[in-house]
Amino acid sequence: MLVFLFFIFASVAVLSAGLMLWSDNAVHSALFLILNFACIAFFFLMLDAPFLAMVQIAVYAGAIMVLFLFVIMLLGAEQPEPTTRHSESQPGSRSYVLVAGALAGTLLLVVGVLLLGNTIDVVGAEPTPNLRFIHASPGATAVNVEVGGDIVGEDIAYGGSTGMFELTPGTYPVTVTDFGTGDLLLNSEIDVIAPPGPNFVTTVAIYDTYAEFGNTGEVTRQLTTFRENLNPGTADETKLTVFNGSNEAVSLVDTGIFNRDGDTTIIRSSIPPGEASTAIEIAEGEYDSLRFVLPTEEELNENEGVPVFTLTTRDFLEETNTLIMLLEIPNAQRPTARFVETDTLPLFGSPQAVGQLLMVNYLLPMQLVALVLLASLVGVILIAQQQVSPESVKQSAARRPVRRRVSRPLTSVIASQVQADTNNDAPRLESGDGTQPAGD
Amino acid sequence: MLPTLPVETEAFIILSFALFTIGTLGVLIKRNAILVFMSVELMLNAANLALVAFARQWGNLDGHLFVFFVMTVAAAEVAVGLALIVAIFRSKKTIDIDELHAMEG
Repeated sequence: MLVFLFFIFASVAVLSAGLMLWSDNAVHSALFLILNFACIAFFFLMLDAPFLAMVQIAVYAGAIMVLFLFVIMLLGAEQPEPTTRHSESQPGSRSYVLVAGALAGTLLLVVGVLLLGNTIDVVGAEPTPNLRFIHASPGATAVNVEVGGDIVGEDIAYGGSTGMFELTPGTYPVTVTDFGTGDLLLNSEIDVIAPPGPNFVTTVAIYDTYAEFGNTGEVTRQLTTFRENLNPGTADETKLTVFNGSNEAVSLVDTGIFNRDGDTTIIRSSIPPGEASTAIEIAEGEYDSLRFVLPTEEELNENEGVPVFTLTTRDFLEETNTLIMLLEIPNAQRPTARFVETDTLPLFGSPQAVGQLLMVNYLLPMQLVALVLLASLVGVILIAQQQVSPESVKQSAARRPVRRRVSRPLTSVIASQVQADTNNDAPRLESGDGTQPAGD
Repeated sequence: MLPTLPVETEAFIILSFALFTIGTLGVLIKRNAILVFMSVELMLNAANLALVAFARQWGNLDGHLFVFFVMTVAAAEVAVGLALIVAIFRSKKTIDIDELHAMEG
C-alpha cells in the first residue's frame, strides 16, 4: 500500500517538475512547483518527519511560492516569451538544450545504475550506554559516587540520582563515599554492556540488604544494574519500572479498592528480589490503589494478596518513566518505596524532538541563521527602494498636467454673493520649480 | 532503531536525484530569470528529500535540523534574489537572462 502510494506521488512529483519546465506561462510553472512541493511534503510524512512536512507547506508553498507569484504578476512575466528573440535565432542555441538534456540524462542513468547495483549497508553504530547512579541506601545520608576514578555525582541524597553520563562498554571500579565524612561506603565494580537499542538508560542502584529478620543485623550494601526504557511510548500512557530491593518477590497490583470495583488487576507479577522489571505501560493519571503484594496465586485471585507496601495517591504523568524502588529500611518489618521520575524522549521527527535538538545542540547555528535572515530582510528593503533622482522628479513633474485655474474656496463664493469681506487666503503648497499645484 | 519502511532509502535517493536533475536542466535551459530561480528551489527541495531519507534510515535527527536550516536560508535567498530581479527589471525592462549579460548600469 505504501509502495503503491510512493510510486503515485513520485510520478506526480517528477511530472510536475517536468511540466514546470515545459510550460510557457510562468504562473503555470509556479503552480506546478507548488504541486511538487506538496508531493515532497507527503514524502516527509512518509519518512516520519511531520514537523518538516508542515514547515515545508507553510514556508515553501505558503510563503516562497506566494512571493514568486507576486513578483511574476508585478513584472508581467506571465505572458509567454515571444519566440522571435535574437538569442534563439543564433545558430547552435537549439543544441544547448540538447547537450544539457543529454548530460542530465547520462548523470541520471549512471547514478541510477550505481544505486540499484549496490545497497546501502544499514550497519549503524551501536548506541553508547547511558549510565546513572541512584542512591537507594537508607543507611547513608549523602554520598559521592566515583566511577573509574572520575567523580560522577556529589552530594546525592537518599532517593536521588546522579545525572546521566556515557561510558563505553567495559568493566569499571565504583567507589561510593559518604559526602559529609568521606568514609568509604562501597567499593565494587560494574559491567557496562551496550543496551539493546537507543534511548535506554542503564541505572545502577546502591541499596542495602540485611542479614537478620526485622532489618537488623549485618548490612550489605551492594550495587545492582538494570535498564530503564526511555523510548517514546504510546499516547496517554506512562511507563513504570519497578525495582524490587526487598527480600522477597512481589507483585504490583491495582486493587481498585477505592473504585469499589473489587477487582484486582495484576500490573506486574513476581518481580524477583534484587531485580527490576522491564518497562510497564499503564494509562496515565492518578492512581490511589496501587499496592505491592506477595505473589501467592490463590490469595491474589481471592483479592487477598498479602500486602507488602501500599502506594499513596500518586499522579503518573504521560511521557514520564517512573522508577519505583521498593527498599528495606533499618529496623523495620516492611519495606518502603522511593520514586525517581525521568522524562521519556519525544517521538522521532516530532516538533518536540526537533525543538529539543535545536535548542540544545544547534543553538549557535540557529542564531547565525536568524542573523542571516535579518540581514536579508534589511537587504531586500534597501534593494527594493526606488532610487529617487532629481532628473526623474523633474521629468515626472513636467509630464503631470497642471491646471492653471484654481477654484475659489466656497467661503469666498458665499462672501461675494452676500457682499461681505472674507479672508480668502488658502494655504498654498510651496513647489520648488514654480509649477502650480492642481486643485485647491 | 526505527522500523524499516517498505520503501527503501534507495528509492528516495533516486527520486531526489531525478528532481535535482530536472532542476539543473531548468537552470541551464530557461531564459526567464524567475524560472531559473524556481529551478534552484526545486534543486534545494531534492536535497532536502535526500537529507530526510537518510535521517530516517540512521535514526538521526540531525538531518531534519539541516533541512530546517536549508529551508530558512532558501527563504532568505529567494527574498533577496527576487528583490534583485525587480530592481533589474526597473532599469532594464527585461528579465531575459540572455539580455542581461553585460554588467553595466
